[in-house]
Formats: sequence, structure tokens, C-alpha cells
Amino acid sequence: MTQRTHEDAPQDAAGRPVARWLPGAVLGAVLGVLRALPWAVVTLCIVLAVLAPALAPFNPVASANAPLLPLWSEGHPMGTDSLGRDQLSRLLYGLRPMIFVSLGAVGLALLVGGAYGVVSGVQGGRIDWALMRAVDVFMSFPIILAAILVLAALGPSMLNLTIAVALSQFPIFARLARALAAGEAARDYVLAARAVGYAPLRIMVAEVLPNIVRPLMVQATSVVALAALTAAALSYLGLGVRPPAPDLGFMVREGQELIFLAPEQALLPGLLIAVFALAVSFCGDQLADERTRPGGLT
Amino acid sequence: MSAPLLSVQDLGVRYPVRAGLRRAEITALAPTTLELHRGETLAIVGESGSGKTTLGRAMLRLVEPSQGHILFDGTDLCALRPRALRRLRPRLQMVFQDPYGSLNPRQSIGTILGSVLGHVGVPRAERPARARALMADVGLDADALSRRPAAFSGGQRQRIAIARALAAGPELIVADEPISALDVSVQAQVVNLLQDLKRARGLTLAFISHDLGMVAAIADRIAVMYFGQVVELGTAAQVTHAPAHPYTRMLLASQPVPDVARARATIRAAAAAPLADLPSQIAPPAGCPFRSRCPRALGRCATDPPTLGITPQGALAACHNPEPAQGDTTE
Amino acid sequence: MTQDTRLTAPTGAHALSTPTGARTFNPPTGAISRRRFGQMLALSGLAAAFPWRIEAQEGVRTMVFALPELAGNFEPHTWVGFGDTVHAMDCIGRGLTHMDFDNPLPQPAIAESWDISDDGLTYDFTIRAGLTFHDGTPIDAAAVKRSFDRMKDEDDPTRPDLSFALDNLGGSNVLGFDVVDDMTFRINLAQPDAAILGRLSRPDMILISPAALDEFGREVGPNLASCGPYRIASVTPNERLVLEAFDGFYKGTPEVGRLVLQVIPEPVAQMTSLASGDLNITNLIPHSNIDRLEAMDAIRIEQSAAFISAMLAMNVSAGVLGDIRVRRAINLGIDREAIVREVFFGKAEVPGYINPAAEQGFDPDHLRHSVYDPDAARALLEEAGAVGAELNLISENSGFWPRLGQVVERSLNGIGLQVTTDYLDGGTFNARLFDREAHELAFLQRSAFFPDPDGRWSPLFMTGTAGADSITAQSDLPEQAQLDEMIAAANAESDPEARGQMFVEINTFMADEMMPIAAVVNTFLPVSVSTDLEGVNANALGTYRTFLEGARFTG
Repeated sequence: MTQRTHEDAPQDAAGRPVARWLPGAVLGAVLGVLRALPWAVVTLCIVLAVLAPALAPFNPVASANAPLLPLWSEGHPMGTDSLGRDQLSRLLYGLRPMIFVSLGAVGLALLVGGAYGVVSGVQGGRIDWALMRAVDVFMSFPIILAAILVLAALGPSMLNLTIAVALSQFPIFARLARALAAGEAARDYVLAARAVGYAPLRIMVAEVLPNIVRPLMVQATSVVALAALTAAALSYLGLGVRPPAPDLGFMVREGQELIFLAPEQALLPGLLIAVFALAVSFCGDQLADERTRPGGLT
Repeated sequence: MSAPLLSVQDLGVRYPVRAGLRRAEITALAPTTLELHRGETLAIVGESGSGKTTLGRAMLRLVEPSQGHILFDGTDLCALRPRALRRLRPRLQMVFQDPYGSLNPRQSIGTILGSVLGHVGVPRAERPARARALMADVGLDADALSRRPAAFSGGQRQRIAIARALAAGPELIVADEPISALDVSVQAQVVNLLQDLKRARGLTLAFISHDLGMVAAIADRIAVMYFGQVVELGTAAQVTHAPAHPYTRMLLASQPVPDVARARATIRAAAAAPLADLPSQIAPPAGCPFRSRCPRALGRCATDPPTLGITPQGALAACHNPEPAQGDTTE
Repeated sequence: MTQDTRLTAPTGAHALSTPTGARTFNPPTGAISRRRFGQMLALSGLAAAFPWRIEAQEGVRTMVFALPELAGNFEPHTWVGFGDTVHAMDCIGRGLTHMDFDNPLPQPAIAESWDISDDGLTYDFTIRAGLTFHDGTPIDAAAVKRSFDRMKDEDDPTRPDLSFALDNLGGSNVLGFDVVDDMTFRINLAQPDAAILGRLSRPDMILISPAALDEFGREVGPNLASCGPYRIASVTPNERLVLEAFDGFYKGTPEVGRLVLQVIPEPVAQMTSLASGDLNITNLIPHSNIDRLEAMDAIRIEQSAAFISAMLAMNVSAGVLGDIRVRRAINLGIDREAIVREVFFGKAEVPGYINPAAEQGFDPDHLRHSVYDPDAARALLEEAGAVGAELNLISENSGFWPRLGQVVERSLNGIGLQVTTDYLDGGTFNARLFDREAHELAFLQRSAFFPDPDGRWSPLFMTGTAGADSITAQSDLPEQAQLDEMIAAANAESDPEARGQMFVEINTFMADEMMPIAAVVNTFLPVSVSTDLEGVNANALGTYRTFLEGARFTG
């Protein structure tokens, strides 16, 4: 599975200029496939993560065989790790924290940051000023450090990792939502709504929000990759799920020490992180392109 | 005369701005006092930037005034808490200049009207019928209710905006340049629609426009604004036939009038005046703000700011050297 | 660092590597031919790629040792951790005694002999005649006293803030220091303490030149002049420390004329440097890569004794751990063979109890305290009614600890406990470790800065220490009083053989009667050496000490 995604994903960006002189129909088909590919990869990753309990041949936290069996060993196509656990099972289960955390964190950040930004943008004035200065202060804090503080305070767990990553994404959404909402709030339909006497909350939710939800969603898609990488980085630092539960970021760290002895120990989880992040990022780019592309064009 | 429906007293709006490193204030609306009587049409006229839109919005407390009071039917809007103000708001409605921006693009017309009707307490069951009736009132088909604003032309949207204002059951409508964004061919239709609705429903109308000639036809009284101030206030006849303030005269002259020679003379006179820079809103000049463009400026105009006073014509004007009554200044 | 300018050759060579175009067209003098200049340029280019390689081009054979970091301050009396300074101090300095990690007993160093009074309270050291410090100042009893007074005298103007040295020597048990005669220096103690001879070999007990103290005062750290085998030639913080052989060293001038301690923090970079010959010695490469490295021709892995111990501290004040049967069950439930195999890739050994096999105090009988017997463990848990008990283990989240934590957790869950492990950063880990309310099970690491059997006892397991009071809370146990007495008695025994035997009994007593600690594994830092080098003290390097004076090139 990793092999297929590995060879396909990077071709998307390069594909277009190279293919320019190809006949139109071929070009269209190739582009269509290339465009569908990242979506397929992301879907596949999510399906694999969700179905990990059904697909994994072994318990990912129990020793299944001798340690450090190489790739393509009998019964262990991805070998075993230094504690003799089946690497394929660990890779499948290891997808879960990254995917759940990145999607969950982006969802949470979208919700909280979006609400925060809409309040700031619609209310304006001093409230806007205070809320945005708070975001500035937040942004001046290094993301990883802030996340480490959160995890140190709450203790490492998947939920807390989600909160920490969401916190790192929060300013992005707060600022975007604020800018979009402020733009909408200056439009006459919001003034008309105020003139009718609607309450601020109703104006935010019923009038402004529906008009900024699409760009926010596009933004959300484009930062899932960032969230996945942040989650992997925090796991790599030992702030993710509690070992022995498998987690790609931590598997890279465990494998790094063995880079000469058994390079696949670090490379396989690293590759999986890269493929997922790349595919999600291509998906986000496609959505963003569609948003900026003028109507009739493909 | 009965008590006015709306009375603004010393209503002023200033915005803080940053000019370089300094903090400064822009006076968008100098302290203004005027009244709207039940059933009348007051036109507020001025160039863009004259503060007429600010006055229109401040009257309804849609922008926050920096000073003054707004008495609506005896209630001071500026003293109301947000919740009480929102309860009162349906009685004061607004129609905006840009029909493309004043309707929420994500909502169908039915939703827009329905939620206003719901807000003023119309039971859910009655809302569709009321919405259809409103559409009929503004001359649109009821099947428009299911569509979104993007499906309509500018004139149609302005009718929808009027319907939305009516849906709230207002006593006062502030129409902020409701026709300036429309094709000439539909401008008259919208103006007539407003006039008809006003008459039929006994509304009070504040009609904001830059077109003195047009409002002369529909307004009972006219307030002329310049640089954030009301410089002349009188009946439509007084203001358009015997303007007391040189600025009003200039506005009249800039209208496309048949008397070409007279217009030319006025414009020439204005052009011959020492044309200083337009006054800065951040550092307003001392004295009368119009004096740099005024053909009748006196020495004291540079020092003493004029205030509204009774003119020989019986209107109010803020001028140290108003046009003489019945006078014909153009030789 | 002002003193760095003394040896400017490498710096000058570096300057050429910068692209100064003007020089190419206008050689400053005719003395440098274009061809020679080209050679220099190529050389300096090489130096830019491998900044430490240029050192090897200057006639004197140079030995390169890898440092993880280099702050550049070698003040011995404020040194608290491993880091860079321990290596530097070991190469630059030497104290009254020396422990070479081959012989379990302290040997003479700057002191050529010593007399201990019958009551064990007075130690008279005879200073070796004719020695000087690196700066030429003669070493006599007064000079030695100057270094020790600096530890104890709070008013000494050269004493650095936060000096820990006296605590490491014996704390308040050290009453004072005397000059008996020109070449006799005396230490007075309140209670007998036979471990003091070993402690005098610690890196922070090195002697400092009085002239350097006079000149630099509290700033002597970057300008350290002592009497070790090498002296400072130049210091470039975060890059390298260049040392040259000291011809006045008491064991004779080291054979290798120049020693460079080069900052190479990444194990991968160390491995490639070893393979290319740019690095001669390192003890920083993880255990997992040793077999791979050993297969390479240019590299030899030295056999080191396992002085570094990982232990499992059991907080006897926490719940079921108050029951000695549960503690014994945990001790029996740790699969140490699996730990040696899976966590250390075979580069470790199953321990006896507290003292490792290479120290006094070890007895083969102690191996029974580290037997893996899951059936007996389960039986003990059942007897104690603690089957299924939930326990929390805290571990650091760096190095081999996470892997060790997973194997220990796995084997303890195998005997019927429910262990969860928190992997914590160093700060959080220590905060919880030193708070008896904040942990149940905790890992503890102990390495040997000097292989005296008491090194792991009186600092860790006597009443009043953080170890006994907070980490294991064993001070609460009734047997602790007897343990305190046994340790005190052993340290009052000046006969090394008898003392060693007493520590054997101390190990047995604590294991059998108290069991607040389960010994988990003994390991060492793998010492990788280029094959043309011999005489490297691998036992010392295996436990963070750096004695390189015996090294020589064979090629």
C-alpha cells in the first residue's frame, strides 16, 4: 500500500506542465487520475486506520516473534521491531493517532477559532482589538513549546494531543474567520440585520457564518497536513500517545537509533507520515484552486 | 405642530484614526440637531463624504454616536440598553444604497422576509401569506420568494430590500441613496414605489440623496449637508427656489438645468474663487469649512464657524453672508 | 575567550577558506607561490568540510574525541552533570588519588601515599615531589590546600557561586584542611569515612593552580590550569577544545601529543567521522549500532565493564508497594534477559544487586536477587492479594528509557499487575521522582564516577538522602536503621578487603529484608575506537570518565 502511494503522489504538481503537449483527451484522463489520486490515498489511509483492528495480523503491543526481523519475513511482511512486535500491525494502528488527531484537531480548531474570529470580526471595536491581541500573544509563542506545556499540564494522551495540536492551529482559523467576518460585517446585509434588531449571536450564526464557511473549510483542508505533521512531531518528542500504543511519530524516533542496523524501522513510519501529509496537502490545494478559479474553467 | 416622531439633538459622530504616529479624530458628523415629523419626507442632500450617510445611520443608532441624543417617539435611543434598543428597532428601518450587498447572498428571499416577520412576532403559519403580500406590495411575483438574491436585477433587489424594511412594520424608513446604484430607467419606479408606500402606510421617510433636483420633487423638507454639517434646512420650496447658503446654490447650479447661461455663470464664479484644498477632516479648518470654495466669503468666515440661523427666506442656514432674499446673484 | 589566541594556526587556515577574491589575484608576498597557495586553499577547503581534520596535518599526532556539547567553562566546583566538562576536567585535571576502573581500589596520583590515623578521622597525604601545575607553579601542600579551602571557605574570593564540591567530598563530615609540612596535606573528618579516598578521584576534586586562582579568581573555569595529562591550547565553545600533552604529568608525558575534544553531537555524524578517520574515540554511539560498527575495518569496539545501572525504585509509602511481598514479586517479575536482548542489543548484563560486578561489594550470590521467576512472582502477588493491582511507572522519555519502560511494563503485566508508564521530560520526571506523593514506580540511573562500593550507598540509600526519604521512602521501614548502621560501619573500616565484604552484606541485607529497589540491568557506554589507537581506558569511558593519557597510535 505504501509503495503505490509513494510512486504516485509527487507526480501531481509535475504532471501538468510536462503533459501540455499531449493530446487533449489523454491529458484530461491523466489529469483526472492525478487529481483523484490524493483523495484516494487519503481515503485509503483513513480506511486502513479505522479498520486496523480487523486488518492487523497481530496485537500491536505484544511481542509476536524475535526482535528486528527484516522485511518480508514469514508472517511479518514488514518485519518486527526491536521489541519483537509485528511492524505491519504497528503501522496500521500507528496511523490512527495521526489521522484522528489531525482531523480532530483541525475540526476543533475550526470550531473554536472560527467562533472566536467571527465574534471578533462582527463585534469589532475594543472586543476585536482585545481578542486579536490575545491571538498575537498566542502566536508569538512557539507552537511546539505551547503544545509541550499543554501536554505537560494535561499529561500525554490522544485527546490531549488533539487539544494541543488544535491549539497550534487555532490562531490560523481565528485570524481567517476574523478577517472574513469583518469583511462580511461591513456589508449592508449585516447592517440591515442589525437594523431589524437581530441579536449579535443571531447575526453571527445566521447571517455571517454561512457566508464564510466555505473559505474556512478550504483552509481547514489545507492545514490538515500541517496538523498531521505537528501531531507526528509531538509524538516524535514523546508527547503523543502513551507507549507501547503504536504511533508513527514515536516509531520514527524509536527507529532512528537503528537507522544503520534496520533502516526500515524509521523509514516506513516516516514514509507513511509523508505520504498522508502530502496527499492531504494536495487535496487542500485542489479545493483552494477551485475556489480561486473563475467559474467556467476546469 | 405635533411632537416630532424623531428628533436628533446635538448628534455627533467622531472616529479615532491614526495619522502617522499621532492619534487623531475624524469628525464624520458635526453636532447636528433636526426633527422628523410624522408623515413627512425629509431629504438629506450633500456630496459624497458630506456626512449624510453617517447622519442617516446615526439617526437609527446603527453607528454609535459620540455625543447627542436621539429621541424616537419620546424614547432616547442613546440611553437604551442593547436589548431594549433591539426591541425598538423594527419601528425604524433602513433601505441601503447597494442592493447587491444589502441582501444576504446565502438566504432565499423567503428566508430573509420570513425571519424578519418571525422577529416581529408574526406566527409561523401566517408568514408565507404575509411574505407574498409584501412581494405584491413592492410589485414582485410571489414565486420570487424561493430564489436567492443573485437571481434578481438591481431594481428588483431594491424592491426586495424595501419589502424587508416593510416586513418589520416600521414607522420610519431611512432610505440611503436607494436609487443611485440603479439604472436610470428604474430609478423613477423605485422612487415612486417608496412614495406610494409611504402614503399608503403613513410612513415617515428620510431620503438621503446627492441629487437635489430629484428630491425637490418628493421631499417636504430638505437638509443640505456639507463637511459633516447641516448647512441649510428648510422646506423644499425654500431650499430649491430661494437657497440661502452659497453651497446650496452651487449644488442647484450643478444640476442639469435648462438655463445653461445661468449655470455657466455660477460655475465660473465658483471656479474663480480661490480654490484652496478641500478641507481636511483630520485637521479641520477654523471658521467656515466652505469658505475656501465660497464666492461670498467674508473675513470673519476664516475665524468664526457659522451656526444655523434664520435666513431672510425663513429657513435655517449656517452662513455669515447668506444669499439675499429673492435676490438674483448672477448678473 | 581571550586566551584562545595563543594557538592561531587553525583559525588562520580557516580564514583562507573564505572566498576572499582579492587574494587570488594579489598574493600578499612572493613567499607563497601560486601552487603552494592552491594547496593551502584545497587544505582549508577540506578544513571547512571537516573542521577538525586540519588538526591532523601538523606533524604532531592528534587524537580526536567526540563531545556532545562544549560550553567552554571547566570550573570543577560547580559541575553537576555529565555534559562536556567531565571529559575536559578528566583530561586537564588530576586529584590526590586516581581510580582507573580496572583496579577497584584508589591509587596514588598527585599524592604518592597516605596515612590514616587509627581513629580514621585524619588523612595525611604525602605530595609527590617535583611536580608543577600546567603554568609552572610548583605543587606543594599549601597549593593543594588552596584548592580544598576554595570548596569549604565561604569567604574565599575565588569560590564560585553554587559550589557543590564540598558536598561531593563529604559535606559537613569534612572538618577542615591543614598543611602539616611542605609536602604533607591533611584532611580532618568528624566521622570515619573510608570512601573519601575514592571521592578524591572525582572530576571535581582536581587540583587547581594557585597562580591561576590568583589571576582569574572566580573566572578560572575557562582558564583552568591543573596538573592532568593535557593542558588547554585553545577553546572554541560549541566547536572544539584543543589540548596539548603536558610534559610535567606525574606519569610522564602522554604519547599522543595533541588531543582535540570535538563537538559532534549527532551519533550518525560520529559514525561517519569514525569511518572516515576524522574521529578516533567516542562513547556516544547508541548500543543498537555497535554490531554494525564493529564489522567495519577501521573501527574497534572496546570491551567495557558495566558500571552504569538502571534500577526500579519502588515507593514503599505508595499503596500495595508497602507490602514487601509485592516488591519481591515485582523484582522476580522483571525479565532481565529480555531487557539485555531487546533494549541494549546484548550490550548489557543481568545485575546482581546494587553494586555491579566490577565494583567491590558485588558477590556472585547477589545474582539470585535478579532472577526472573514469573510463577513465583504471581504466587507472591496472590498471597499479598495484589493480583490486578494498578501501578504507575515513571520514566524519562529520552535515550533507552522508553524502550526499557515498555519491556518492564510488559513483563510486570505478565505477572498479573496492571502497570501504566508515564514517559516524561527530564524536568517533570525529576519533579515527580523527588516527591514521594507523585510516583509509585520510578526508574533510577546510577553510573560510577569512581568505582568505590559506597558510591551507590551513602549518597542514595541512607536516611536523610533524597533517595531513601523521597524516591523509595525506605526511611519509613523499620529495617532502615540497621541499614544506616551497616553503611556507617563499612565506611569506618579502613581495611579495603574487610570493607568490601561489608558492602557485600549490605547488598544482601537490603535485597532480602527491604527490597525497595529492583536492580534491572547493568550496562556501559559503548566505546568505539579507531583501530590504529590502543591503550584507551575503555572501562572509564564506559561510565563517562575520560582517561586518555595511556593512548598511543600503533600505525
